[in-house]
Amino acid sequence: MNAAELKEYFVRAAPDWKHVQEIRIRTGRPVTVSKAGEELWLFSDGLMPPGPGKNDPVCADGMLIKEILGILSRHSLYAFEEEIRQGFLTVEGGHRVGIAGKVVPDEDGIRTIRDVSGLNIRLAHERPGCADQLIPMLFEGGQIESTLLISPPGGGKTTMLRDLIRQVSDGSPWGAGQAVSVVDERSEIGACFRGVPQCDLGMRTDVMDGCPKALGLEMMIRSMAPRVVAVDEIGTREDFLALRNAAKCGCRILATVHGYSVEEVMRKPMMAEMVSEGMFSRYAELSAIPHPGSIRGVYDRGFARIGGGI
Amino acid sequence: MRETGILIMSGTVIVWGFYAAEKWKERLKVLLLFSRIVCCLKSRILYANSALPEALAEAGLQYSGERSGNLAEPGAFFRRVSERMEKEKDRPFSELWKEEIEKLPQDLPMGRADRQNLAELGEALGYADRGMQEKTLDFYLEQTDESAKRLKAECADRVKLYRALGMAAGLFILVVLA
Repeated sequence: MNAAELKEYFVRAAPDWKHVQEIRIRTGRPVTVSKAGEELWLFSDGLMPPGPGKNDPVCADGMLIKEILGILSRHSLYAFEEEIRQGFLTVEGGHRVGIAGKVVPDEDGIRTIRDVSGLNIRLAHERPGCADQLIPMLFEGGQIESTLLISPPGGGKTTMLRDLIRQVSDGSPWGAGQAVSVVDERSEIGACFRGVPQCDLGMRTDVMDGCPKALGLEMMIRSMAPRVVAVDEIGTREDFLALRNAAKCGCRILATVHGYSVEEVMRKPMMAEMVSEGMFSRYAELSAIPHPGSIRGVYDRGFARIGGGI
Repeated sequence: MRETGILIMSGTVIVWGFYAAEKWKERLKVLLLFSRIVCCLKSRILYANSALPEALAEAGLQYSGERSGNLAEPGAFFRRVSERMEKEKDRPFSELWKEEIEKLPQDLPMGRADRQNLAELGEALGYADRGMQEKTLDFYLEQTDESAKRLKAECADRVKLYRALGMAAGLFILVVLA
């Protein structure tokens, strides 16, 4: 099977793309689609849940995966060298393609990944207004509070962050619009194409695309004078130091982190240090159940619950 | 009437001689233009980390400018490949490159070996890492450089030869028919 045939199967299956979260393609395995939390297999006549009596799902092979990688990288795999080392590439539209295969190590870590055997295409979704429920809890005296969004993968934290950035930048009934600087290391927040964000991040937002967070934050604070800085998936020592510097400069922080709850995040040494320093004033726990972006709970700096609940 | 015909015939042959000499000079110009565009492509790929469609379009555009005729063709070729990559995203790059090479005008002053080198460039571009791109582009540039040196060495003699042949043939017609 080639990519054109796979495309044909998807056209025939006609899934509701708004609700498709992931497409997983593995060598010798059925092509699966994750839609609204449910796993569906791709068959020649459509998408169906796996089950007895359902034979011949559409399976991928190595050549197909190679071809898809070529198409997704616009036949420019070299341009994604750094990202591939980290196990993913972000393609036009902000969709993230996770890669599994044979790692080629070198003295600095990973040189590349070859013999790619699995792809996980995570579709980026722009949902304007998805932060409407959350945003009143994040403002105090007309000013956004530094907020940490916590959710497991697929919980909708990047989508939520994107809408928060838009509303803070444009202004909302809760506060006037402010200059926001986004450091979009993996091009997922703004889905920049040729430097221009494809997603609406608001009229007062500047984006540093494809730049390591620590480096980008330093540059943005120095050059763009933001009132608010936003980053996705923090966790390293460098991130911590850069965010601490941003907070010292008077910037409010919007950030996301992988985790299920505040307690779990607090168990990570770096995060515990950030929290104990009072870097954040709001913690929002998000969940993929019943749907991505569901607010499980919002807490203030003293970890008192101030809202949320599914 | 007869004299006019003879003059036209001999004039045409002389002009042909000069035209052939110019074509030879243009062949060198076209080759150097391809070489410059590939240099530009190399910088877009290695230093700006541009994806191929952007890199090809930018490199092609930079060398289109005010050029016309055959000298506009190299830049236009790179832009056409870029446009097709954007339109036909599912097609392999090497196929599009090959098809566009085949579409180059037949009268474009380019040697068979130079066309072959250009075709081979498309077979390896886009694959693997930046190191591989650099080697592929450098290999093409080396080949083009050698070809250009050969052409330059031959150019002066060839131009003289074609012009002299044209004039000699023109005079010969004049003498024989007059």
